[in-house]
Amino acid sequence: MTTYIIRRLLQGIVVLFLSTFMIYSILILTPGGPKDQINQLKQQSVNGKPVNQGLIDYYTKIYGLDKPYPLNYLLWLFDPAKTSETTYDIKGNPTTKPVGVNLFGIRGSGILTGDLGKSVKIDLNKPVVDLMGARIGNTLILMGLSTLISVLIALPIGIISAIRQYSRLDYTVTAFSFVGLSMPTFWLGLMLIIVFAIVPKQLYNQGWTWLPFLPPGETGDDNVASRLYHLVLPVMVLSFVNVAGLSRYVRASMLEVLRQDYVRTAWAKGLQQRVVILKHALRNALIPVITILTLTLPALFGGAIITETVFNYFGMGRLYFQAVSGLDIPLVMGFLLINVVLIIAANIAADLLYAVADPRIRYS
Amino acid sequence: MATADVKVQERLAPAEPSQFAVTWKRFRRHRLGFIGLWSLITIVLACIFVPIIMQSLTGMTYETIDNKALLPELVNGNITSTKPMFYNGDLGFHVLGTNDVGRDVFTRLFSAGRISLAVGVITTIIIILLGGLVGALAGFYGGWVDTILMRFVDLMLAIPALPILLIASKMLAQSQVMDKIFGRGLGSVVTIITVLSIFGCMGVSRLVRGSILSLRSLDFVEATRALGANNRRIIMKHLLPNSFAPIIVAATLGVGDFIISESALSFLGLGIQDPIPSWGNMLEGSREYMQFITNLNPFEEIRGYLVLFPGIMILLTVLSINFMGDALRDALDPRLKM
Repeated sequence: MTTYIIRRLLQGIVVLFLSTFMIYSILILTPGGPKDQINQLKQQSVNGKPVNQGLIDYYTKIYGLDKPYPLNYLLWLFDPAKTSETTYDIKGNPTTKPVGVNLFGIRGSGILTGDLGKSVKIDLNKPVVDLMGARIGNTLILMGLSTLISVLIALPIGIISAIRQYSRLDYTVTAFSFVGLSMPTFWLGLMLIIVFAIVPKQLYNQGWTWLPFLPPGETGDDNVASRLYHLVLPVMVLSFVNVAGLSRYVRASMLEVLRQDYVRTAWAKGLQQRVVILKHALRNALIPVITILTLTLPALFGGAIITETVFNYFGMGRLYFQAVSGLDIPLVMGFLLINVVLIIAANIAADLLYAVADPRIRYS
Repeated sequence: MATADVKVQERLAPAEPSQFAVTWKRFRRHRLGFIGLWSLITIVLACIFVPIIMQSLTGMTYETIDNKALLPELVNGNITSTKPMFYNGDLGFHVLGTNDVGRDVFTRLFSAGRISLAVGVITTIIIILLGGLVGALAGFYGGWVDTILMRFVDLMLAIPALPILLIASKMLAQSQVMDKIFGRGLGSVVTIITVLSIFGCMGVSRLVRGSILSLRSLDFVEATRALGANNRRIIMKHLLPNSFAPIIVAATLGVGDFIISESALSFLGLGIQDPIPSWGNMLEGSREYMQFITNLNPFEEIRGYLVLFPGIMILLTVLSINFMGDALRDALDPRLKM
């Protein structure tokens, strides 16, 4: 088992390098990337000198665009030459400061030392890590709350639906989960905004007071009540879609367990329905569900890009969308890197958790 | 004498229904799937014929601009140039009004359906051809071909799809590579089809590979090889046709998935650009009109239905496709015998 863990971790590291290489290639080689941006900037020149030399230098240095293609991936990871950083302020005056690690005589900086670069569009020269750090708390709250609520709702619904298969409840749940899977989330968000935020506000001006008014998005206030008040709509959208998918999965898993021989034995022994379901069937049915939930862990950090954009929520998803709109490549790269690391870690964790939860599985 | 014997043989042995007939019979038993099939056919026919009818009746297409409808008016304290339902403009009677550039919403709704459905179907065809090819090669030849191809597929599956879709679409749109080749509107359609198909291939190739792996060791393949068939014939005529079932289900569900992805990208502004309509496109344009809900009179002041209709069309189309795909999956399941 331990050898399996070590082997998976090593494989994970290899996959990590390969996938970051793939992401780097996609971002550098696709037409419209930093090279094209640099060419465009070089054409915008006044008196033969480019307007935005600082940006051209920055892009060239950080992605090694003047070096041959497969080599600049390695330099982007760790460049022994990048030991100091020169930033230009608004008048063109340079400021140089040392950057990167200095361990045992190895100097340099790059992705491997944690230097994810600086934003070039959203907030000029602000480190990507700072921009993401300001928003990650909000995204964690949003995604964590909606995952919790969707698990709390989907588990009972899936279990009951499996126990009473082919009943009216089962058909309702199945139809509802189909609707949830086919629903465009951005449209659901817009409709909920209309129903809960816009219509009550209009009607309030005409004297109606009983419809709940739930403002979308993010608030300036910092107290818990105001936060929760603003979170209701985004969480509703996310939970609806998650419940639809998860309840179907729980139902399928539960149905498969209920057909097993040991459940039939439990019934035959005369045990109460509650004991059979909760003590014998549920534990086995939950095993694949746990692995599915582990695989949704990267989404906790990556955020729901579309939902956060619709609700104007101050989180990682909307930050990524703003970065894409402004073609702010360092920010995009930072987001993708963190996402990839989390996906690979979650995959390994899901496999290990599966082995822990199911004693029949033992990796040799 | 021989013909009489043959006729007797035919009468003694009952005719076996074809595989298609068997599948159709099992598919019909799923009421939801059956309803899905017919509603999908209705939507497809509507999307094909409504723009043609509108153009021949009134001359309105998805891009003709009604100049009378462009005049701005004051609605609930906001100035807008959209017109409400049942508006009579220069070009004719607008059933759902006009949008802010003066184009008829009703015609655009169904033209957008054409585009969204076409994008879904074309992308699905591409991923089946490419993914099927990759999966068949990997599954049949095995060895290092299999290892390399599947490692590549695993790598692409480990990368988050939606963020890369977003940035790739934006970069391609910014560079105007497709626009220069295909023109502005069509270029965005080609961009989105390209970007969507790259990620869609991976799942199909795994599916096909698994199917071929399980069929490869069966006796009939050995027999075919003994009869002298070369590799290509074995793959194309024997292995692939027997693995059609999961491919068909994946294709059906894939169309719905691609319609939603394309709508999401267009909604964010990164997909299909104006003037070519797409359901996501129309939703993006109508976002600012959500607040026009006073007196709740759709024939005078509300523009909120501009948000309602494209979304309902997406929901109905994808829902029908999902019902159909689920019923197909049950009908094609080899474990259940008639």
